[in-house]
Amino acid sequence: MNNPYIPIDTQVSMARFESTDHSLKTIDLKFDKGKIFDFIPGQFCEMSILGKGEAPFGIASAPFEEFLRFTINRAGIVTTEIHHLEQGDKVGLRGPLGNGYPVKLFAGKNIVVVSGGFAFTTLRSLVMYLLKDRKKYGDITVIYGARRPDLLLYRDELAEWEKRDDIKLYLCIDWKFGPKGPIEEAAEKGWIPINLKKPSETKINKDDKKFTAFVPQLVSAVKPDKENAYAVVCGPPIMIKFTMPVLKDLGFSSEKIYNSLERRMKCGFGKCGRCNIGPKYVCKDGPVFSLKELESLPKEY
Amino acid sequence: MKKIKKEKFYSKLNDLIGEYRVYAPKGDRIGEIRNSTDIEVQTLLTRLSAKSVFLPQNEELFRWDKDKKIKIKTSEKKTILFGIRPCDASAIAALDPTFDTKEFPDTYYKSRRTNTIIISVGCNEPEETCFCSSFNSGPFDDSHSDVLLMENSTEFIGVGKEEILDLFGFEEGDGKKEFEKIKDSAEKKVQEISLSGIKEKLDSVKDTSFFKDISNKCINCGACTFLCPTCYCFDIEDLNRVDGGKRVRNWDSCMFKIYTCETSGNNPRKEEELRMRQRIMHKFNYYPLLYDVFGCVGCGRCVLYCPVNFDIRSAIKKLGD
Repeated sequence: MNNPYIPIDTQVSMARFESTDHSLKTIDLKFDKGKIFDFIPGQFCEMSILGKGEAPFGIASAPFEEFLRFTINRAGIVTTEIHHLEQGDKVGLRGPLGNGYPVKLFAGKNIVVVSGGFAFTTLRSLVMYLLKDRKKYGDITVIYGARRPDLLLYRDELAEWEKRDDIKLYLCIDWKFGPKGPIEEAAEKGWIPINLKKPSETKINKDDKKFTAFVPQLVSAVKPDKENAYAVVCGPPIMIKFTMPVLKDLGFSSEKIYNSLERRMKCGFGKCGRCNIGPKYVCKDGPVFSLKELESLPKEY
Repeated sequence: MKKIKKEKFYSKLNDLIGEYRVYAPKGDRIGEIRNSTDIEVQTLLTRLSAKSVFLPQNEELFRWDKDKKIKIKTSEKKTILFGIRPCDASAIAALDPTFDTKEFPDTYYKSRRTNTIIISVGCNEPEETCFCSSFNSGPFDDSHSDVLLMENSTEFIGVGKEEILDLFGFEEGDGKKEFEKIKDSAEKKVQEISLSGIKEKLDSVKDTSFFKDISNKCINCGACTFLCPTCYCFDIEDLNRVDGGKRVRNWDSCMFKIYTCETSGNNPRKEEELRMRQRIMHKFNYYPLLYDVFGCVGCGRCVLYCPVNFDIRSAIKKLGD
């Protein structure tokens, strides 16, 4: 009988800081024994530092890549310890856990990916997965924002995606703040401001990729088409809260919007009890839920 | 009906200690006993329930040495759990769908469960706080015990698995009449509350004002959840020593604010009423929805030991109004 509480041994094959302020670190893992496990984009793992504890992180690499990638924000005891890891260090891992994105539903559909901050990890996994079988899917639109340009994850890959014509990439960074709120000018050189009051009236030229806006405003300016499309949203609660109405205004129905949630977790497989929203466990039944499912649950997210 | 003299039963139980690990009522809990004289079967309900036999309050999951090599300590020793009440036996059965799952089975729980014989003793004199009859159960419910005993002044009358009755040397006897008589009188003493449609009633509670109202006096001490035989939530933490360490799981409680608090500070159940809602909903709505069994067996411990006299029965009754 497999004991689900025991972490497997993995080794750090690459470790680098993702942001210039060293708050985000990306590490790649390889398994001590054999190839990495099979998984679906959107699933997560419990990373385990013996003596410090465990914490759940979404998988940022795609299933066909030869490593498991995680990008981790330094926040507590376990994440601080993970930030100290270097190439060659050992780390325990339990997974893959959770349900992942409904990738089977996505065949032949247009996919709109909306993300904010370092929640982009599992969405990188998803986009890489879709790009691998590019012909199987319709248009792929990625709308991704962060507070500052250096807080956008995987900038090398974003730069490559910018050049491709089979993926529509829209990036944004937050506004500069004056004494009376956001200042209506580019936050950095080359980042075009979106109409702050009426974002949907902003005209977006074909080659424009970088904007000064909050993610919901950018979604409203880009106006992704709802026809034959699924929207996948992952980001901080405040971003999700304001993005949902925008997507609904654009005509996306609740069944066509998928959300990836996060919760405090311990076991990762529906036993320890804390991550439930109503009768659903985020670890076991999630972390990916359609908005339709979420609307039927108590508002505890 | 089979019968046995009490002395004979206890002397056989004594013989089995060693081959079996024996748990029985001892002080305020169900503890391991070295001799049958330690057993305090006259206690109606131990303050702490029998869940600790299957899900100890603190349990080592694994340990590691100074080279971080992981060792798992498992014990598959045969166990006899004697003298618990039928409500506690039902509670253990209610834990099965959570821990004994196809995917990610809890190996620690499962090995204890498969290696344990449950011999419960029916309740001749139920307490005022008992409401087990509300859950298709009762003071002499034998459905979740391997053997159920009825106690009179000198004998045990037993029903259940033949091989276990034989192991102790139960003999055929005329106990049926006595059994039924005591059973009837005990059943009359148990208060029954109506649970019909409770799931739907809870579904229809849309705002939190009902829970705010009932949780007003709650001080979030968590006593109800620790004493509850069906509450199973746990926390996992690491303990360090110079030459290694161990990962342990400890009981946790949904009544604690920190239980759901994330590192970012975001807490989906920050308010007291949300935690009360979680406790009530989990027992009477989510659990029946998921597994077709209530997360409550009516043992009454939470009523008996709540420091501010919160009574879950009156909360349920209030819901009916």
